[in-house]
Amino acid sequence: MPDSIDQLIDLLLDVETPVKPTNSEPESSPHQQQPSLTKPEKKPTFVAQKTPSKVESKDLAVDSSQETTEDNNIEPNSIEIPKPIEPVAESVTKVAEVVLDDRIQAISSAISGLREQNIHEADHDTFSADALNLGIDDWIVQKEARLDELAESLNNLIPLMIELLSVKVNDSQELILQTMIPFIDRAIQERSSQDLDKMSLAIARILPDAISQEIKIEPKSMGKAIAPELALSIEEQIRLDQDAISLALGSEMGKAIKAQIELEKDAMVDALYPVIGNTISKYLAEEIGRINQKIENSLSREGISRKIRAKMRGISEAELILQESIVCKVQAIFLIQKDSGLIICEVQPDKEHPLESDLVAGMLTAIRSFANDCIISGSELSEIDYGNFEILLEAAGYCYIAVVVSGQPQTEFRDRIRETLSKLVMQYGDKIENYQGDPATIPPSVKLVLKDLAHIETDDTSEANQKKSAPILLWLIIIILASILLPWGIFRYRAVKAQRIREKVAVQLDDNPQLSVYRLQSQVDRKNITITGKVASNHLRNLAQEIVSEIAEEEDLNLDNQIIAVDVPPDPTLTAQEVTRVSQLLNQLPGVGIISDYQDYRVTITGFILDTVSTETVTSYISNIPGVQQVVFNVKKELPTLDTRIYFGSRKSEITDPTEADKIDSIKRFLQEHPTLNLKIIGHSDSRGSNSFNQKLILERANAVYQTAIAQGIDANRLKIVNEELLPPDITPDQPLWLSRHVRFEPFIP
Amino acid sequence: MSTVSKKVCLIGDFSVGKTSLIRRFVEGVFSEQYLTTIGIKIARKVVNLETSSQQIDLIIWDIEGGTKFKPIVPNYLKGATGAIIVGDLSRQETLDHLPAHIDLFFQTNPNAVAIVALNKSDIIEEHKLTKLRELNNFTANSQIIKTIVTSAKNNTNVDQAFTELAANMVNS
Ligand SMILES: Nc1nc2c(ncn2[C@@H]2O[C@H](COP(=O)(O)OP(=O)(O)O)[C@@H](O)[C@H]2O)c(=O)[nH]1
Ligand SMILES: [Mg+2]
Repeated sequence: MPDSIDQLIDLLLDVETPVKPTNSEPESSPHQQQPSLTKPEKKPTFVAQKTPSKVESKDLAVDSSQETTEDNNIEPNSIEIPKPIEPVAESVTKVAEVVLDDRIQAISSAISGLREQNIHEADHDTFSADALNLGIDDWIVQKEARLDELAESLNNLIPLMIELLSVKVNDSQELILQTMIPFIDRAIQERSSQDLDKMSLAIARILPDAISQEIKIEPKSMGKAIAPELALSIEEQIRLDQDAISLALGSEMGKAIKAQIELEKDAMVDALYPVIGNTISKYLAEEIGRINQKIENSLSREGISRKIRAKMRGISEAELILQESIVCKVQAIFLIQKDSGLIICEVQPDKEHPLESDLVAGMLTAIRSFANDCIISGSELSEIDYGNFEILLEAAGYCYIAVVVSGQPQTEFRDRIRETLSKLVMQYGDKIENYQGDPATIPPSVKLVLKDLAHIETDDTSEANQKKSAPILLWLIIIILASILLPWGIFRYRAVKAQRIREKVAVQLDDNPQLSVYRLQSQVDRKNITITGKVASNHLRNLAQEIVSEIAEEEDLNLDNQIIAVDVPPDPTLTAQEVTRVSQLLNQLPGVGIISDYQDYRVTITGFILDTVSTETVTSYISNIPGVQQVVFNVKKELPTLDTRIYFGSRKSEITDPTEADKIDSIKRFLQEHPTLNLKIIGHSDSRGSNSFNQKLILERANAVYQTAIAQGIDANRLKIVNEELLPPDITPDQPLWLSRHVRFEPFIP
Repeated sequence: MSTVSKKVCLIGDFSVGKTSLIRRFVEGVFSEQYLTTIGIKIARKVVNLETSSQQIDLIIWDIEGGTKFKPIVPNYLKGATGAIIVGDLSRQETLDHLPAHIDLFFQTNPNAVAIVALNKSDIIEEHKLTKLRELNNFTANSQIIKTIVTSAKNNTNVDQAFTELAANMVNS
């Protein structure tokens, strides 16, 4: 890498400055010399002088055992060959130390720059923990293997330094170097075979500085070139003088890390996982998660879990896999009513240590309210993290879902929670909204949906084992009783069972929004479930088949699907009702505020849908309603703004000015124009006065606007007073104070 | 027998004995030691009603606040079916604040019911007690089931307050 050598020479010239006092040559300033490197006119004068040095320098290397300590007999303008290496090395060390201080800044920024560079090498897309881990691993693995390599790479550097320090830099260094290189290699090789430690000692001290300089000049190529050696050189320096380097870097490290965190916070956190004690378990979980994913990708999830369960009985290797597989585990899922904190439905896979669900739900609800109210008005708390547990929260209109997970859940898991929640809201929204604490009002299928999210499989084997262990006497009694009661019991049982299955079929068919508009019936006998009725399409017939066949399977019955698909569209009034009902449910999803109009088999949707995922959800639900042939979207993706501001006098919270009062009209108009939006009322004050006074003042101002608005006939439910910063966000300190004394409005989807 | 869950809030000024009443009711203990409730504490007890076959799972929210500096966060009151609004008989100002607490609660939950508990009756002399009772009787509002004199320390009327509230919550 001749480029890098050139640049290193630049560096070394730079470094030489502090050595100057030992030289009698005053005229050569290294900085002035630098440009001369590329000037050809100086070359000729030097060639002549150079030639002998080659030979003698060889001697020097071989001769290094007899070390003299005279630094001072370095003579200007001549290549003083018999000079022993040791003193030079010492002077280099001094230089390095002096310069190190000046360069701390450079080193620290260089390190963060280099790290980034290094990581981009490993992974072009992301600055990821993977990449860093890889780097660290490499470093460790190569530490020993590279020792020889290091010595070799240092070879290129040492002779240059020695020569440059001794040659008074009158002449073209480039030439000197060119002529030196051939013998230097050998010289160093021999030297290092004699005394490797001293050699690396000399170099190690100067290396950090040299690197930092070079990085300044050309960060990219340097990053590439030095990346592998950097680690080693730092290590070497630490070995030499641990305190010095930590002292030198310590003060700047903080700044460098801070800067890096600001740049790429997540990546930095990920990168630090491996080194921070507390998060080690999380890091491990992640590693294992990655392994699991690999396995899962090659085999099906069920297959793996079965495999694990089979292997679980014995082999230690399998135990390991099991441990890995349970690293991320759903501990509990709660569906909680938003306001009251009452549990609507819960699933806890671990039957032995169930959580006190009511208390957990209450606490979570309190925390959510607190966070929404006091910390981040309007936004949602999505995650609570403690130790190896995580509680993932996802909220909809009247309820939220809380999933307690141990270990590190994969990101797709959150999508699954979201899907589950929208499914629940869509199908059972009304029941959830009107929940009064009576679990009997919640259909059993809610629990099935949650169980599905938790991936709980009923563990047949363990139940079977338990049954086996029942005492023999008990079994005898049961058998005797059974022989008496069975004939009667079977009869009763069948009737009860048939009734129960019919109810189940009815509930599940009714739960499906597409089928709920049809009248479907079921009959159950000893072997069959028969379903009858008329639906509008084959698709719906199959849908019913799908739903009921699941029940049939559970109950060990055959399914006889006698549903007839007729091409008669369902009653338009029913469809219109269903469209309205579904739209209202959809409005509970975050970022959705729509009004749907059904006419001539076509649904026109107006209002707001703020993200594309929700658009898909809305489309799929509306278009699946029987009788809907077309969905026309007339929605906006961004909320409109309302520029109206109502201004107040200094320290006043009454609306006295009639022009200000008239502005309420524009609020009224806005709300009429956007029936799916409500308005936040946000008060502000100027920068004078005490905090607590202003805090009170801005609430009073907001309240004054609220009361005036209501007095003018605006529906109070469509207004919400929200407490934000004292000062308005868009007014700068140099603007007049009165501009800040206002109440503004912000539309939101309720 | 079916179990229905209901949210109940305890509100009132600082140090009137909310936490003590809950501990007495749920754990059956009383302690002189004062432990500040930070934010919210939630407790739970199942109540069997004599009058109906129903069980009620009371989810009891112990709500901090009720001082000038820390107003009660109305969000914490949301979704409650019942409340016990507590005053301290030995501190007149806590009784003066009862109407404000009552208003706040019913503003948030217009269909709920409440009981007013005048607590720490054990440290009030008999003749004073009758007078204080008369002065603080909130009968105007039909949703206030009754005003009851309690002592968490002597276990006077604590269970009665909670069970009576529970009984009225299922009826309502
Ligand atoms: N004598 C007496 N002291 C009580 C009674 N209830 C509570 N206390 C005391 O009053 C103080 C405050 O009680 P606490 O329940 O923490 O009040 P909170 O702030 O409303 O929760 C504590 O020192 C209790 O021991 C009571 O019925 N009688
Ligand atoms: Mg307390």
